[in-house]
Order: sequence, then C-alpha cells, then structure tokens
Amino acid sequence: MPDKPPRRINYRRLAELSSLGLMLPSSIAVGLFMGYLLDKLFGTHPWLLAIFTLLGIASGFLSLIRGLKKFGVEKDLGNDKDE
Amino acid sequence: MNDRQAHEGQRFVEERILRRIPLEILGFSLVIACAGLLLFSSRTSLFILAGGAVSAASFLWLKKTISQFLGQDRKKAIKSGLFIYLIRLLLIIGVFSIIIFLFPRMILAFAAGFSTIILAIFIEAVMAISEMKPWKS
Repeated sequence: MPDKPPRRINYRRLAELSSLGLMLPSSIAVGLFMGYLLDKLFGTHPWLLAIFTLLGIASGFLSLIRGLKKFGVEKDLGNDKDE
Repeated sequence: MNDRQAHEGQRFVEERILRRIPLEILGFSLVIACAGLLLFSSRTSLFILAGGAVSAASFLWLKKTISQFLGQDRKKAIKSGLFIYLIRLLLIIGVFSIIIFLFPRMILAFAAGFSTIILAIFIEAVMAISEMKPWKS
C-alpha cells in the first residue's frame, strides 16, 4: 500500500459509493417526516407514520439494490474495456 | 506513475475516506446527543446516539457488501448478500416499528441520529472538492 495518496483521484467512483450510502437513510427520512406531518394533519397517530416509514424503508432498499446492480454492471463494462 | 500504482493509490484514498465516514457519523451523533441532553432529555440523547450507531453499522454493512459484490466470487456474494439483506430489512423494520409504537415521541430523535450519515458524506464531499485543483487558475 502506498504511503502517499495519488495526485489524481477518481472522485466519480467515490461519489457513486457515497450516493449508495445515502439512498437508504434519505428514503427513510423522507417517508418518516411525511408520515409524521400527515399524522399531525389528520390526527391518525401513529398509523400514517408507520406506513410511510415502511414505504421509505422499502423504497430505500429497492434503490439500494438497483444502485448495486448498476454499480456491478458498470464495473463489468469497465473490466471488458480494460481487456 | 504506472497504472497499478495509480490503482493502488486510488484504493488507498477510497479506503481512508470510507473508514472515516462511520467514525464521523458516530462523532456527529455524539455532538447532537450532547446538544439533545442540554436542550431536551437524556432519553432523547440516547435515541440520537442509537440512531447514529445504527447508521454507522448500516454503512459498514454496505461497504462490506460492495467489496464482496465487486470481488471475484460474485455468485456466492449475491446469495449471502440476499440473505443478509432480508435480515437487515427485517431488523430495520423491527427497530422503527418498536420505536414508533413504544416510544412515538422519540422517533424524530432516532431519525436525527440516523440521518447524520448525510452530514458526514456532505462534509467529506466538501473536503474532496476543496482538495481538487481549480479548472483554471
């Protein structure tokens, strides 16, 4: 492993990895806050909060899987190009 | 610098940043928990810390999954990944359901701790941008 970082770093790959890390928490946060606000609006506490949080978790996992698939496909394409 | 050295250097920088993010998540959730202790209650700060811990663990899991997924044995990684994915899905649903039904007032504190990953990645992005050379000097 080198002691010094390289001069040119490929930030695109890092950005893709970071976006994968953000998918789940951001989807859950959006679902949760929507459910919280709708619960306050309609007085249905805690049902809409629970339903929207579940929807947020499900959508977060789906986007995560989709992102992982895309990441793997892009890596394969990159390997093909190298060969 | 040849291709292999450049590749190793890239991996070194990536590893360093990806290792730093969970620690930053815990650090930020600790700071917010301290603020919560001063402004709200000890229970609120505990839930913020728990949210940060779950978020850091979730990031570490994702990092491990991606390294397995991009490794040589892809088929095995997909099989084990799917199993752990289901367990993790159930675990997160369970944690959120327990908090929503047993401690409904604490869900925002937990979400605040869970969302510190957004702050950590945002700060890493700002640091990475500041290290980039300007397009034209």
